[in-house]
Amino acid sequence: MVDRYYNPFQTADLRIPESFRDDVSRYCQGPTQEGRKTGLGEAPFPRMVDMWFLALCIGAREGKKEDLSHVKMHKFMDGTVLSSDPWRIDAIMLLAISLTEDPAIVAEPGKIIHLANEYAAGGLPDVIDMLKEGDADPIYNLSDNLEHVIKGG
Amino acid sequence: MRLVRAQFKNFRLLRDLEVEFSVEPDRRLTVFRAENETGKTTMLMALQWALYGEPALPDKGQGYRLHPIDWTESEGSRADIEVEVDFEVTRHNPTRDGGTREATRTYRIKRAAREEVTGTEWKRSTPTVNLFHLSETGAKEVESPDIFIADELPPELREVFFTDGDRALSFIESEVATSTKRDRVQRAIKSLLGLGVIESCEKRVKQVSKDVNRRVREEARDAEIDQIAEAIDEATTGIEEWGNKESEAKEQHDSFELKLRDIDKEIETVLKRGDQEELAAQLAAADRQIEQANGVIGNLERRHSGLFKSKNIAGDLLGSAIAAAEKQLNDLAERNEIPSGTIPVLEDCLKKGVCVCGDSLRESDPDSMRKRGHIQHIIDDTKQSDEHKKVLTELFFRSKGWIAEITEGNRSWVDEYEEVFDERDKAERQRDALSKHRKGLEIKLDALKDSDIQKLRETRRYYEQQRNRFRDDFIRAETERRRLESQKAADEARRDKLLKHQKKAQRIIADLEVTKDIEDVLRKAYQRIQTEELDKVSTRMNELFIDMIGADPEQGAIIKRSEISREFDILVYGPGDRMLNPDRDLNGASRRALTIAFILALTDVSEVEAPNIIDTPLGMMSGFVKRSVLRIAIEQSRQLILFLTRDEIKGCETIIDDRAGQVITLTNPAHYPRVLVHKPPAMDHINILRCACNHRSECQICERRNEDAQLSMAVAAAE
Amino acid sequence: MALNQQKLISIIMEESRKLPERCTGYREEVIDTLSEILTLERQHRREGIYIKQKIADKCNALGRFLSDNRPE
Repeated sequence: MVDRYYNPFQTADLRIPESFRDDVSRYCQGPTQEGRKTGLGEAPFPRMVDMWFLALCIGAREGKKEDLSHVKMHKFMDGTVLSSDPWRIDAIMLLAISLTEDPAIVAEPGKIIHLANEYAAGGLPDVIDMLKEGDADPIYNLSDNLEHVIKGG
Repeated sequence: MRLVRAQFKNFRLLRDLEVEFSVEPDRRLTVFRAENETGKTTMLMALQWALYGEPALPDKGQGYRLHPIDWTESEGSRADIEVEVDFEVTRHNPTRDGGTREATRTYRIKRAAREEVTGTEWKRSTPTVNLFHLSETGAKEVESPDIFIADELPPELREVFFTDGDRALSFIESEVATSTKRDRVQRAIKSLLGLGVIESCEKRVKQVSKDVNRRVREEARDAEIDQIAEAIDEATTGIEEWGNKESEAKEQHDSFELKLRDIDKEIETVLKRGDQEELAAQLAAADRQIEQANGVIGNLERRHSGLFKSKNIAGDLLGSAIAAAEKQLNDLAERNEIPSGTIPVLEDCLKKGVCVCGDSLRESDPDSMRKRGHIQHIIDDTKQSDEHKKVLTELFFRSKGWIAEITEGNRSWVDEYEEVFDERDKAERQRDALSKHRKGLEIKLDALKDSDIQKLRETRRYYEQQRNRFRDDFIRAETERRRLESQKAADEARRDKLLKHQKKAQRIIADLEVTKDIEDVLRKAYQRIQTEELDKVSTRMNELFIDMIGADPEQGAIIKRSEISREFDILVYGPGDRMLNPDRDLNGASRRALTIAFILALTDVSEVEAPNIIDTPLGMMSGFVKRSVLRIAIEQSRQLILFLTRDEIKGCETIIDDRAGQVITLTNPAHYPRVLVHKPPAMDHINILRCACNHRSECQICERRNEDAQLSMAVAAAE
Repeated sequence: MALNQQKLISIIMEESRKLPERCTGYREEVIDTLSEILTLERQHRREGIYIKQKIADKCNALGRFLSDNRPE
């Protein structure tokens, strides 16, 4: 029985391409570079892991995987952060099984996270576009664009 | 009194001018045809200065220059100013048969002043005034000219007899405090109806009565009478004292009553704009509501933001991928690869030391050890692969619920988003409405910054306290006075009864009766004048006013009647007896007409013989009303002197033809060339000129350009 | 004050006529006395005459008239 707090990704690094670091910071909560807090309307993601995970979902849905072997990456967090939403651990594992068609991949958390980083990197440009595209606050732009994606647009 | 002639020397624009006034009974009107800046106001002021002195000037003469503004050094450093006015006074002395006998005398008053002029500075010496009685035998000087004039034309009535059409509205303007208006009307009426004289006479006769009562004590030589007389004496003194206190208290009470009324009006106005305190409270409440609304919106925003990290969004986006993974897990389960049961059996074998096939697995011999090693290896291998199978098993079981949600199409992310969106929209609209409401309150509050309702209310409380205090004082004084009067009357009756028995007291009794009778007559005359005569003034004013404006189709429909109330307010009423506001509901012409009607009514009822001198009375009036006002003013006035512009005269020419005994045109030569057609004779200084032209003629001195020509000249001059 | 002397006198005359006729000609004498008092008052305002005694004298004169002519 897996411990309910079991997190195979604890020691893994969650990364994003360095080139997206500013965009990700801009749309995530926490002090801006100027030291001010931005409202949720402007920065709808409470944590960077939330944006990373949405990007992963978009990347996986769109089949966009980025080859990160020559990409400069930024580690924004380690995998312990996933413990706060344990269902994400399951989602990432299921996704890995689906993408590799190999259930045995669950024994290789490092590989799973690497895969996740690749798909997140692939989905990030789309997420950023969705935040920017529209006349409203980013939170509304993203919502409307996600609705469009989900409805099959 | 009627004005006969006036001569002006160096009084501002009037350097050297003499004019005559009509005294013909059938042609009582004198018209000065004069445009702006041709000395109308100056002449009005000069006449008043001649009659009343410095108090008639603006600021009582302080800093008010009398010498002409273009006085030059060549004329010397001293400017001698002089105004001389000839006037007639007619007395109606009573005769034995109850009739009266007229006696008319002519007087000349001459007021002079000297101003030392140095550049733009000047200083005026104390003016001198002389009054002469002019008769066939010559001029005889009259003592105390100011008092003589005050008798004929009381200073408090100056505004009644000398009326500046523009400033005549102080009797009715609503901007003027009620107490001030009332005071002016009361003073005018009281003075003109002679109430002041009666009051004085009554006081003196009361004093005589007191002295007679003292004589009673001296001459009666009766202890009882003496005692009663002493009591009467004390009561008389007490009545006077309490009467004074009563009057003072009433005056103060009325004054605070009026102040209360004025401040209530002010508070009402401010309240209509909003109560500062209440507005501040409303603002605070609005702030709280906005804070609450912001809280709700904040929560909704957090809910909104939470949608991006929800299971639902992951489920909606990863639905197919998760379904594929689920299939793989299901396949493993079907193949029984998950979960694994091998390890417990093999571990049990090792523990017991016997294999499933029955071979020994004891640790004593090498063969058993080799078999144990193999089994342990199988266990380890199985454990290793079971580890990931364990994970897969856990994953399989944990994700079943979520997968079911995704596949069975339970509440989707879009539904969730729409719900949050709607709630947010509603909350933000509410917040916007609150913000708008708050903004409105802020604007109202800003408008109230200068008006402090709190201070006004405090002031009102003070006024109310004072009013009540003086009301109590008044009641106390009145009660005491009445008690003393009653006591005095009873004592007087006792005294008179006792005196009747004394033959020698007959004379004193007679004196007492006489003073009492005279006092009674004076008191009743006072009351009658105050009520009946006031009512007559009010009725007459209304008749004249309605007659004047009745011809005006616009105002005639709105204004139904006017009156002077017991409190000396001039009031106007519309249909349904609704009180009208003179400033709002009457046009300029009606307001002037009402003032003129009041002045004429007062002089009519008082049967006073005094001139009415009015500067531009017909301004703002059109044809019908203008002619009505002029006609009525001529009929009502003993002597009417009007300063009229050509515009005012237009439409009234025939009336002036019929009723004016004197028409004089005044011209200011400085108006050439812009206004005047002809170049005036060469003059060193500005001097108002008169010519013989009447209201229908023009000459080399007074002919004026029409308005279009004036405008062209002005434009040409500007270019 | 000549302003409304006639008016004042007419009202005073009317009120005087309401007095009891204490003796023959009394009312007329009252009217005369009051006229003179009013005149004295105006003179006083104009010339500052010493009025108190003069008014007392007028009242005394009327009192004497009444005393001498009152029916027994």
